[in-house]
Amino acid sequence: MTKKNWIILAISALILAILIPAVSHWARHGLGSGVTLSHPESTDTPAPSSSEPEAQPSATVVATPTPQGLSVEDRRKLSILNEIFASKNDNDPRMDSDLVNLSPELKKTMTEKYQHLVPEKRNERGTLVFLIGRELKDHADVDFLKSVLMEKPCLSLSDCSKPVSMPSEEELHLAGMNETTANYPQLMAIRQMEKAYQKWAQAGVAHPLSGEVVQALREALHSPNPRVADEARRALDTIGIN
Amino acid sequence: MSKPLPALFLFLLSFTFISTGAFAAHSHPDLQFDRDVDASLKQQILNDLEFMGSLKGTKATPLHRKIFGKVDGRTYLRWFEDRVSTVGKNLCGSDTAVACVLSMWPNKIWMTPNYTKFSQPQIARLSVIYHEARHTEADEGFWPHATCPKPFLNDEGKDVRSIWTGALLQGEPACDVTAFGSYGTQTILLKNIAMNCSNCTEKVRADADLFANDQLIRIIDPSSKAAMKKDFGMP
Repeated sequence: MTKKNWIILAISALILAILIPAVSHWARHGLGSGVTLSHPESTDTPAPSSSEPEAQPSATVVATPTPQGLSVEDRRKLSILNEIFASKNDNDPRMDSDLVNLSPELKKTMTEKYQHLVPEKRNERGTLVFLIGRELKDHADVDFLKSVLMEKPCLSLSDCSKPVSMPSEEELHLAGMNETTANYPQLMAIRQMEKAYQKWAQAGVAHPLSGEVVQALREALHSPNPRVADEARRALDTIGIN
Repeated sequence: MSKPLPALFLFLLSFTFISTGAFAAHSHPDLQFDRDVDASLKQQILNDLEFMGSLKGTKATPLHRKIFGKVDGRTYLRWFEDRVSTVGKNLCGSDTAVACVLSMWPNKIWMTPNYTKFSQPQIARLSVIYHEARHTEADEGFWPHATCPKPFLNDEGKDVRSIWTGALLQGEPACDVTAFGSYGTQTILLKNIAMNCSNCTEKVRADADLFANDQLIRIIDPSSKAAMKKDFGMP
């Protein structure tokens, strides 16, 4: 080949080098009516599910009590919690990196937040139970979980106060998923108490809250909600207390 | 200029389009949405699938490897997209349904407004659409559910019933015999995320375990159920 031909070949290669990523980008993001899924790159940290992880909290989603008396750090954590609720992203890594070591004041605010949320916000309510229950440290924490266990059952996900009508075949198909969601805050409360008890037992320490946790689980055995009673029974069996 | 070089250029160019197209089919496929699918519903589905596509795991149980492969986001997306190409909107014949498939429309999943209306943990609502995706498999007869036995009792010997309506599940097509049907697939997916997801938050893993247990009860064949429990390392 002549020198001129080599130059043309080099230019062709350069054009291809530009075209390949461009076509790849079009394939990824689409040119037509179809919506294309993006495939995030591999990462060892949880990736946000939302394309806008910094979404601002929605007023309809989050009922935020006035955070009186909270430190700057507590306010920051509360703000993160609101952002997670608004994004509906349970895999936001800040759940584990930032929403830990909660102060008693912040826990109190979160407890109040729980009360301000409409009952149908099952995931948000359950998330608050999860976070407070992950750090059972004083009587107020156990009292909060006990109060969750004593709530009236949520009768349907669209309106907790109204029972669903007789189920169709389609409703029975995945009814269990909906029922678990309806009881999600209560089931999470039981699981967090079970986990805390096991952690204390494994550490070989007689934690001052152990007795309260067992008592709460025993009371839950008598819940009018069969799902709560069954879960409490399972938890007590697991930790070896009948 | 000699003739071979333009030909070589065209060859390389066409190869580029073909190869990137094939790449798109494997790693960046399209999911079509019907026009009546609300923007919020579409965005929620895409966000949830993006979350699914981000998952990483170090190992997988044998049953998971048979159905999905590795615990890996790309694997999960490819599995879903091999079965579902279109999303439509439908009430699915129920006030409480979240999603369904209709055998007349293969490779299509129908979502109800409840997908965004109900406040469900993210991994729970995602597992529902993977359950439904399993039902799109025409060559497996859409993995029909089995009729729950009469009586249908749980591990404590109590009737399995809806806690909302009290309706018994016995005699209803709400069970599976095999571990590879929709309930089994959903359970295996959830259990593996609970046990093996390395970049999930603690909440996601806890939720996956909680909801997996709910679905396991629907497996009525003792040997299938025992195989699943063994797969999960459960007593």
